[in-house]
Amino acid sequence: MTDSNLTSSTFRGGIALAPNKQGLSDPINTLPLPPTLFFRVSEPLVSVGDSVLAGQKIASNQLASTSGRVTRIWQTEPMQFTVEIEPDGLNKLSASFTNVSQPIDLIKAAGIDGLGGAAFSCYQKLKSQKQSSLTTLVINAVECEPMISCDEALMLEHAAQIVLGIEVLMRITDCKQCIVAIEDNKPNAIKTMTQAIDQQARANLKLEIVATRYPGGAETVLLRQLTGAALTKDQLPANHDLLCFNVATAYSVYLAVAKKPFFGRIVSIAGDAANTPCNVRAVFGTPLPFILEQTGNLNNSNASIKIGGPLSGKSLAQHQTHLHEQAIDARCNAIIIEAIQAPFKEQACIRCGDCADVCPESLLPQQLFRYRHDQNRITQYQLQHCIECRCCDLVCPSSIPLTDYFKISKQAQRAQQKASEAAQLAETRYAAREARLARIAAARERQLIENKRKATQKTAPAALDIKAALARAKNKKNNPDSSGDASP
Amino acid sequence: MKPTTHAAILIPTVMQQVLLALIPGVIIYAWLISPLIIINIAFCCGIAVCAEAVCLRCQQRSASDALRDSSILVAAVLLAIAVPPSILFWQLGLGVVAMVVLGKHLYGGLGQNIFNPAMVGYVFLLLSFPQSMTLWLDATQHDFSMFDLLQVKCAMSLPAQWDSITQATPLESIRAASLYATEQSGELTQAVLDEIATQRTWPLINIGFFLGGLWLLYKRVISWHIPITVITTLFILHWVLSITATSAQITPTLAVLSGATMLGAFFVATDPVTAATSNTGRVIYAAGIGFLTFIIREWGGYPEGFAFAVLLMNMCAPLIDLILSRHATS
Repeated sequence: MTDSNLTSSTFRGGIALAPNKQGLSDPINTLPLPPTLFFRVSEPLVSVGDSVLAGQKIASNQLASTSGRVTRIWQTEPMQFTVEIEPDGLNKLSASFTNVSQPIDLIKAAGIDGLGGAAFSCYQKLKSQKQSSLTTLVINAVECEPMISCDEALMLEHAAQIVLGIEVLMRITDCKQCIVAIEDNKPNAIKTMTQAIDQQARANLKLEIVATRYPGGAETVLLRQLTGAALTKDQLPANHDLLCFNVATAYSVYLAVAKKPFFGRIVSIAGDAANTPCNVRAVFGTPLPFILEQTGNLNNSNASIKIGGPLSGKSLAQHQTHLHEQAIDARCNAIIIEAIQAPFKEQACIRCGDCADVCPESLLPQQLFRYRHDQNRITQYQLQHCIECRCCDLVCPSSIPLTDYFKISKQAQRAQQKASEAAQLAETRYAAREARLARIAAARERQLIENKRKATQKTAPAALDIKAALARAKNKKNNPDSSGDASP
Repeated sequence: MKPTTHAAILIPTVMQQVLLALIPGVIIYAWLISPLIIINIAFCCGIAVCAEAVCLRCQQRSASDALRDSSILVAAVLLAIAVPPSILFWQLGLGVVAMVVLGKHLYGGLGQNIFNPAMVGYVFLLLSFPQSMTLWLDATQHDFSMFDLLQVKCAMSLPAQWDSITQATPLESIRAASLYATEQSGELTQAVLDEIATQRTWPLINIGFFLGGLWLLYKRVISWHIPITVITTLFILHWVLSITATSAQITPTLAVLSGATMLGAFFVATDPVTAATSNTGRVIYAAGIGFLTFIIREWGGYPEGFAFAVLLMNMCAPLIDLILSRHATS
């Protein structure tokens, strides 16, 4: 195990995994439009029979990736719908895109989501940056996860366009410098990117080569090793005057600003059971079986399919929907086809501490695992900082799927937080209601007293008159001449 | 080769590596002291596996899965190496049962025990059968065949005349000599030390275990923190003693090559279950073991303090972890 001389920076923890990048020898193929597209949305804005254009909103955070007709909408889960669109093959652009000309508006109209994994809206990220004093833009081209090669393939073919996209981002954010980070196991991509940067002759745009070590491309890990900025969970890179974009996002930005948007992404198809590993360009919504069929990878009956990388991805068995409805979205950077292996049998933790050694976030996974049911303890051990890279799973001699446990713990944490927030809300509401009722009661009481007082004020003089009259009458009756005698 | 998606050395592999690493030390032991150790190892393993199977059955857990991790075999072999080869079978058997039941399964099995099971078994035997546990037959002073020895080992008690044909380990010789010296108001004579220095048996056995330990380090089965810290601490303390004490002292080199030092440092103290988990914690834990071993050896009532030192530090390990984690998280 020897480290390359190129290595300029590395980080604590992590694992040197075999990169195992496949399918880089062939150029990226663009897949034809599939007969149907599937979009999973929470609230569809279109109905069956509607015609849609490329770039038209079909839900609050989803654009149609090409023009066509909505043929079906059905509910797959609570608050989760699938919209089926039949493309017409014309790929007509929506007016929301053709009517604007400013780069930031074009990015918004193209609906670019981060293509690195989190799929956070690029426009939102840029908009929230507008006011702050940004110093460094970081372009993440590390692609540290084994088998995934879509970013590398992109850099080999479109380095010049990527650099143009970076320029656009730099101009929009008005930042002083930009770092493009690439792992040292991608010499060809480093070469093409260096050439492209040299052609642009921008002094404040530089390439930084990082060691090949998983998970060097995770945002927090990358920013820490490049700039030393330690992000806490409630911080964004902007808190450290940084902004981070994936290299593929920069390319999408270029396409949008050049007015030839592509509502799709490059997907790696790899794995030891993949017949023809390759990188393909597919529009969002392309069903998985279509991609597998087009690339000649469909006939693997005894293989397990993972969407996303071999480590960060989800195996298809974990998904709720069937294979034929499973479609490409911004998160889907790879489809991994692997031979089904007997899973390792989970054993008791022997507290070896290997997990703590590899944790890039310097957490103590063995303690998090041990106290996984104790919400206070796991908060104390900072579970919220776990980036779910699975390094601890990889080195565990007891084969404990630690990250799966942490995901469950996080869910419980979120649920508890939600419940306590709801309880707090209910409490304030209850207190407000009590106060209001008390107020109403008090007001009513006051009103009552007031009414009574008014009533007595009104009736009292009359009563006095009667009494006085009665008294006078009585006096008169007893001694009729008293008035004369009384004052002799 | 770098792994793509699985980088772990699984528990059974770890345990097999540890067993392999014990081989050189055991061979030297069998050659120089007694081949009975091989029989003891086999006996301990057999009893341990049976006891573990019974324990698992009582807990209604699958016996085959837990036995396959072979952690109990490592503990059994360590116990067999630690006891004198002439120990009676029934006593050794009891020790193994104590190791499996008291040391491991009362706490919930693998990964749950606080104390090192092998050392629990060892201390159980040392406290219960002090005579058998301090009797080392001197091969040069008897002509028993293996068969005779086995026959004796099967008996209920040790033959009375055996006292005259035993030898002491160097640590015991020093202890006896220094006790004698204090009684006689004299000092530990240089002559005794010189005589000890000529004995090659225990240093060679220790070197055997040291080589096995180096192999484990090379294979990354264990990290350097614990063994190196234990040995360094012991060496430094003995060195300080040898330059400050007025009387003659055992040399630091001989001290780290005597008794159970190497076996303990590389194979006993490194048990991850009962040690501290962070590297800093491990250094503290190992320094504690070295320090306590030194104290018990020098001033305690037992010639070999390693087992007690390990058990005492086992108790401290959770505390070390807690204190260090507070530092880490606050």
